[in-house]
Amino acid sequence: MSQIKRRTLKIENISKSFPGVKALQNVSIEAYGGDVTGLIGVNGAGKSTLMNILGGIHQATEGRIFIDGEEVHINSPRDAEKYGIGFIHQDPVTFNYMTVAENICISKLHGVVNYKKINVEAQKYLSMMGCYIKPTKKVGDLPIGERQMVEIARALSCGGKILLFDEPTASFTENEKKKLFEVIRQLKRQGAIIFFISHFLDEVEEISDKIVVMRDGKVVISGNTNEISRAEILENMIGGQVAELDDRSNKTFDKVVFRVEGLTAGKSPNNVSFELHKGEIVGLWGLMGSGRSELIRTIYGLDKADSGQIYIADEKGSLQLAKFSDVRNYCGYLTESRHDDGLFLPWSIWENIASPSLQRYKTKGPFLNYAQQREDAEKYVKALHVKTPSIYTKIESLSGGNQQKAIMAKWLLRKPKVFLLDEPTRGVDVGAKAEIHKMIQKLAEEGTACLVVSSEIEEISVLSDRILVINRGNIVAEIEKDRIDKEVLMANCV
Amino acid sequence: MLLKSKRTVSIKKYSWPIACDRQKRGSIVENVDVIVASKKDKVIRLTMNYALYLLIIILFFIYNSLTPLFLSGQNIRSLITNSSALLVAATGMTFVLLIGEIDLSIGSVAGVASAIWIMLITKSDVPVIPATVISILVGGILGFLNSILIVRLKINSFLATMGMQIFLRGFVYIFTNGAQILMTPEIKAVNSSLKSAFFGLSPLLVFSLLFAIFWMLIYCYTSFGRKVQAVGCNKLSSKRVGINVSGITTLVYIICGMMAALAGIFQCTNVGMVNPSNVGTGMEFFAITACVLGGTSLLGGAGTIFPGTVIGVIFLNSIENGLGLLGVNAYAYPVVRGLVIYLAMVTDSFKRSLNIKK
Repeated sequence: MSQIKRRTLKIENISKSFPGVKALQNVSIEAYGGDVTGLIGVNGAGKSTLMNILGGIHQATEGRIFIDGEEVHINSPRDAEKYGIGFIHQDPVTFNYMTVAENICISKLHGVVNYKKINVEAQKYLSMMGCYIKPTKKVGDLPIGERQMVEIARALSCGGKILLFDEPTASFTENEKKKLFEVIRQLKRQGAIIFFISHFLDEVEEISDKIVVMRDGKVVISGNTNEISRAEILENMIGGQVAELDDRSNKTFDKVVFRVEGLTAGKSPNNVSFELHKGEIVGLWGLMGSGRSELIRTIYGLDKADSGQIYIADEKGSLQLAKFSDVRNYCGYLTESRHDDGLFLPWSIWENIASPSLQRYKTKGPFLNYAQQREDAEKYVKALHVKTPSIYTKIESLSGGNQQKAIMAKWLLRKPKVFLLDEPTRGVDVGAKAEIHKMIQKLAEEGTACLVVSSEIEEISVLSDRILVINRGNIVAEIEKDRIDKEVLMANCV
Repeated sequence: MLLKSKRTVSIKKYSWPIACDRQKRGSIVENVDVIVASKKDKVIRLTMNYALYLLIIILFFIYNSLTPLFLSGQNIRSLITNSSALLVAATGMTFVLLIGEIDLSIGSVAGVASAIWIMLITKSDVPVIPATVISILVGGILGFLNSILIVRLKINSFLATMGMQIFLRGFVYIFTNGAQILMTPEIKAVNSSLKSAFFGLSPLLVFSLLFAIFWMLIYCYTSFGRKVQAVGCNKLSSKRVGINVSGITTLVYIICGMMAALAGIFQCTNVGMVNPSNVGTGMEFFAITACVLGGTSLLGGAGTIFPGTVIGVIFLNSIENGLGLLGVNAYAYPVVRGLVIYLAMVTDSFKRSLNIKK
């Protein structure tokens, strides 16, 4: 053997069952130092459970784990740390009121804290990644990308032998992602065993040497990245065909149903004007912080507009000036983060679906027509294939994709003229994503004008009939269907 | 384009890869806008951050102009001595608030501990100092009980400690038979001998300040203190990085119970008797108010004992002290106190809304 002994991690026949569910069944994976293993699968496929077992958060019901040939028992995050396993969670889990150094070293503190020492220590791990954040800064003051770096530094401080990345890029901008990949490559060179989970196939293909595809708690296919085709991966992930999108390239739109003129609210949006046509899907493309969400919020009346007019077509099709407070009666709004402001999490599915349309369930008496609400909810849950035991299930127990479908259902029930979608497929797996795209198309087919915001260049270019590019609160370009491609979009947004 | 954006005053172009890796600027494709506060904003924020200090200065100024007695050495000393019980209680409460929980039982814990303390001294002839230690331990045990309800039985801390408050208040009456008990000569002797050891300063004053400083050091410079803040910032993250959240919570409640017991003893010593219907009543709300005034967040994770809580306590007590000197009708105290607390809370909420806008 000429090369230095590589680290090995062997997972043998791991099974895990939660009450009523078999989350993992006989999973075996081998990974070697210096390799990035991409782990993919739809939500609920068991990737996160597997990572949680390695990270000591859950314990396996059966099976064994070997590190460098020796069997290990990981019963707590502390044990994981002992074996040099660092876990980087999907959302940066940082302590915002504390300093960077404290965040990185928190689990290793004993007795009296020597700030000088932990600052040096923190600096060391940060510079390992080529990152120069001041260790004495409060983490709450850092942008989200830097917080993720702090979290990775914390994982490194556990020894950095094995690193588990659980969808680290979910809330990243393109550039933060690049930086993260650089860091991962550097860690790879240092001989770490790396697991990388992501919903984005292209990311996994870009970064990983090996790919493991999971479905229903089992490994369905694994192999070197360059030997597995994308079609193969997709098929194995979903266990069937992905819904194909319609080709809408020959469609023309002429009836304006929605017009914004000179909309301004503080710094962004700044003097924004555009039109939406009946049945059109318009992409709103811009980078994080370009003011895209602010624009939608202002249109919907959540942020107060300083000036500008909004016109909405009436029944006869002629445009009428609408009051800002009335706009929301004609619009649906799928929010950027469903957990914060998109759902009533402790409520059941039918309550959530009916919630924006209570007007139509008025009866003569003092009560709402609940039977009708449930009936409608049932109808939409079926039509949109929301996977749930029943409409009485609490919405928080659904997976991300199904929650998003339920949100779609609640707006579809209102049949909005204009549908504003802010990141409709964030944190949603490939299968559900395709279904949501299909739904948007169907909605447009029925005459609703859709305005879609997305950070994913792929999504926006596939879905849109026309793209508006926003930068610093201004619409800076309008790109017609035949000119949409990645370079044009990137070139226009900076 | 970059240059142009730098010229705008209120929005600074900021992209973290620049901050991370200045050499690789060429590859930057996108930037994140971070709105940097303008000068005016900064001044407002600074004022808001120190609003309590400004308020206290204004209050002192007003009182001082109305009565010269207010800022006399003697009055300041008596102000702090009268604050000592609340200060001790609020110090313990700060820890509980820092982990994002609440303890409504401290008033009754103070009552029970001081009742046991006086009974040990008067009925069982236990010397004062061992009796004090025993009652502090009792406070610790009661805090431990609280933590069992919260950590093991997973009862919401508000409800668990509220139940404890009612439950323990009964014991205060049972232990004392509902009667007021005056301080014994032994207690007074210990008090005055300590007083001479502290160069004429009241031992209550000295101990309460020492405890505040002690706990502040624990909070800022020990791993326990750091973990307390971590738990308060984010319980889930704390669990993920392997912090023993239940253990920290338990310890914090024990500390709070012990400090509450001491606060009860201080209060009785200061008043000169144990009055079962009076000792510790309302202490929890005064303590929480003082903590919040001092900048401790009710959601956990943010706050300081020194100067925060200490200033909060002194502020709260100086309102009444000044009114007393001015000879204002005692029934009007709560009105003024309420108004001032609202004023402080409004500035606090204003401050928070500024921070959110950022």
